[in-house]
Amino acid sequence: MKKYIQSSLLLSSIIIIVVTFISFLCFDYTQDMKFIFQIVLIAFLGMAVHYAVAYIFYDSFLKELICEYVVIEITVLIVGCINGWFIRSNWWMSFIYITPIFLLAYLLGITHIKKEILSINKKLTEKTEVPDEENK
Amino acid sequence: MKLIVKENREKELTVTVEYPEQNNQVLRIINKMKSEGKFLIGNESGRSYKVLIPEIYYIESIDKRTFVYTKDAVFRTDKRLYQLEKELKEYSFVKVSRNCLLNAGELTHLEALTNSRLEANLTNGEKIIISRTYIPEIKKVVFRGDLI
Repeated sequence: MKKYIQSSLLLSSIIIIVVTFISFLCFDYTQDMKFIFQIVLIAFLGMAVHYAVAYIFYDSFLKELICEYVVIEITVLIVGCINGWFIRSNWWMSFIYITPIFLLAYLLGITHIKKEILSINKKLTEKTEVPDEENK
Repeated sequence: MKLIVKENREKELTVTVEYPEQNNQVLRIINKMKSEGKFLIGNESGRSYKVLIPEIYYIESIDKRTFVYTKDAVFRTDKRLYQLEKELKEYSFVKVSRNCLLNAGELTHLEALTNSRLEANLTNGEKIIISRTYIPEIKKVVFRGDLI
């Protein structure tokens, strides 16, 4: 079920990006298209921040989490102000959007890592088990 | 597994591996043979030692100095971590954090701690902190199946 939801969400992202890109090539550049490209850009920036922060603060989870949140918040504020996502006096609105996205992405990341660790541990256990023919 | 040992004074030391099909056990033996006799130069208390590659547990860089850890000794090496990463790539060494290179052959299991930190448990009982970003690299090496 989880895999099905994951694949569906991935497919929906591909559909949105491809349809927007084709519409951009064939028709006029609309505000909707602009917004989708900006979201793609912010996702690229967010992942760059994620990897950079994980590289710097690999030994302190709390530092990593706080720093990542702050840098992403600042990035969205800057990009948002430039592109007029919100009125400057209502800048705090960005927290309302970013916090749930950040938490959801973090939970997904943790679940994925745990799954990877389980498969690595399983493989390591297989390695230490002596094959039957060696016991003969 | 059959082991055939023959003395032949006319020939140099030759190891032939014959197998019905190539599996992880075969890859492991081949990799062990390849790394046999390969070493790094390590210094301890002003003396230089040959540190055999399969005996290395992990290599750590602290304040631009590189340390090589074996089961019960620590040596300093003049080489930088990135140089060693390149040199030891063909064996089962993998980067697990910004400043640590681990011999995946000495890895018993990985553990996600409650504070979300990740730890690698080694066969000598030592634990080292690893970074989430290197998990795919670790998986690749472990699943390659030729750990020394």
